[in-house]
Amino acid sequence: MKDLKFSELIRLNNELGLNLKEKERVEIRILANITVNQLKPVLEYALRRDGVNAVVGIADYDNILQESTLLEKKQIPLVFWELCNITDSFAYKVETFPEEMFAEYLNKAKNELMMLFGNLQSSSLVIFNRFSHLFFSRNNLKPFNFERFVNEVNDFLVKNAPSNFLLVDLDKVLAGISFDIAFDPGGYYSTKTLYTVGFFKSYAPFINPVILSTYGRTKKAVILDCDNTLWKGVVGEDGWENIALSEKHKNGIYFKEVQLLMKALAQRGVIIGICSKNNPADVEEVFEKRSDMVLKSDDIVIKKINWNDKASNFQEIAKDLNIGIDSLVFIDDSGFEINLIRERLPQVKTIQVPEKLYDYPRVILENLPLFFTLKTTEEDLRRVKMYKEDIQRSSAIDTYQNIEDYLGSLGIQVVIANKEWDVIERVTQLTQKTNQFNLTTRRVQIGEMQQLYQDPDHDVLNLSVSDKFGSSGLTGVCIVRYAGGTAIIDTLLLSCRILGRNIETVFLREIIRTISERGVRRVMALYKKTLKNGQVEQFYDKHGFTLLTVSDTERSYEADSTVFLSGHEPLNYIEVIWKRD
Amino acid sequence: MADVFLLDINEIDANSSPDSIPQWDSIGHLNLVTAIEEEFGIKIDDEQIVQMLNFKLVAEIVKESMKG
Repeated sequence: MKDLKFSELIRLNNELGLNLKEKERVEIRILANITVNQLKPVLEYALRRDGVNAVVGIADYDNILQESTLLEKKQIPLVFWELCNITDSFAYKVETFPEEMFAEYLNKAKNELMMLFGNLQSSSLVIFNRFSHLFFSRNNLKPFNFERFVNEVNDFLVKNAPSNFLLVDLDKVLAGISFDIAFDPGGYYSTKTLYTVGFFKSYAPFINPVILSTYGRTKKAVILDCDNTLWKGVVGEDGWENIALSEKHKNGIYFKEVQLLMKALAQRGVIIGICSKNNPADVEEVFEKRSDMVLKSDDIVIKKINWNDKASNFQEIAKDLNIGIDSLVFIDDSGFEINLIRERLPQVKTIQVPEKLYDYPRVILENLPLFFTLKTTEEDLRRVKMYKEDIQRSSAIDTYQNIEDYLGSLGIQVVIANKEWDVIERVTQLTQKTNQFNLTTRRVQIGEMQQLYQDPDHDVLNLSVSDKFGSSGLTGVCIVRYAGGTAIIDTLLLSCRILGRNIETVFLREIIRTISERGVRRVMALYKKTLKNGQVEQFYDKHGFTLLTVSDTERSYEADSTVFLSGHEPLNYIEVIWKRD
Repeated sequence: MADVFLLDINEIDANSSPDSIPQWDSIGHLNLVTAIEEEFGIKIDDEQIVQMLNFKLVAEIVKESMKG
């Protein structure tokens, strides 16, 4: 984007917008006390390039507090609040202030922030720029008043910002470019345009991962090649003892640091895999015998070490892990392999090991926002272990005659709870991240979920699964709305990790039972088609619901809870436990 | 200019102005100035910005700035 001319960007942005206009709109509303209109095409372009139908609106100039009360529910506010412009020439005036006037302005800024926090409390996500003084202070050895002022407001902001606020550090954006590129002194005086298009081009990449993560588009797995990617050298030729992967060998340090970055990702719940053209025994030997290898066998969830082409391997990896191809990141030193994946599987993000090895750890570091999540939940931390258990389970299937015997042997337990406050974050996160087994793909934000939990006309069921191999954790959510003697299944989703075990059938039965216990018989349900949820198109048909209407994008159903329960016996090999308070 | 206002080049002539191009509002004007400054590596000052009332005048101001 950096090399793209502004005029070209406007044109391309418009074209991308036309291509995406069928997709769900993601609306961002910018509240600002400076002119930031040129951020609109830049941010839209950055997001549309990643397949998000972003529409950026600019609220009335210098009217942040009032505009913050006028937001629509689905709009994500993004706030540019520049302290240099809270009154005319403030950055210069404040230097002449006596202490009590300084305190007075400081109080006013804090009060206004508190009002803003209140006004935006029902927004699920607020993107807020931390205050910066750098434009006015970068040559000062000691802090002047403006710098002190900004620092005090920032401290207050960090201490008091509610949990729905994501704070963006503008100084980090500035560090990536120069002041002369970021700052438009003429524009600031003529039209209050403090920032240049160049600044916005560097700013947008900070916002992209936040929006992508809200819409379940965060990358979930990183798949690495071995030779000259995990270590320096070719293990099949040089031997396990001679490859470089730590300070012990020349150039090993770069690979060690990349491995450390991978290890940290694994600890945050990102899946680490290997895809390498090698003899499996050679690679295993490295894991077994090289004690200076940072990544251990336990950190690697999936290994494809064979001589098949990598595109086929990647398709298998996505299938084995039950995640979309577009959640994969691929790191390899070979231009051939990188190009092959780019050609055949363009949804995969590829990173080539740079020629100058000293750039390697930094290149990986700069790509870490691909894995950004707003909140790391306990589930994320345990995910690597859970995926490994899954792969053990799949290999156990082969030894049983039929699938039901096998499922019976697992000792599956399903634990269900209604409106369990302790896990509300995870429940919310699942609505945002689950794409495949998701009947309506309704994304719920935390503020809205809190309201649903409090509303007597809603049930919000969550489901966890465990078996003799371990626990899959919280992996299912259902939201039921009651209106006029009818129950409407508003959301029904399961993480793909637990599919293939008839958990969905058990869950549906428990949902209907919950509805029935309220004395409600009429159940309405909906399937909304997306690019990814084709596998559940027939879900309600398979479970005996009556199809009411069909269109290209939707199927609606009804069922009678009493009739349903008498026609669907519980499955004897899955134990259901209800957690009630 | 065609890119900024999402037009075809043939749709612009010497008399094209904010009156004939609906996208040429105050924001469009700002975008046009930014795009021109970037394209020609020039800096257009405040007075010139106000004088850019149609395509012909825009072209003259660009020429002038490139000389200076």
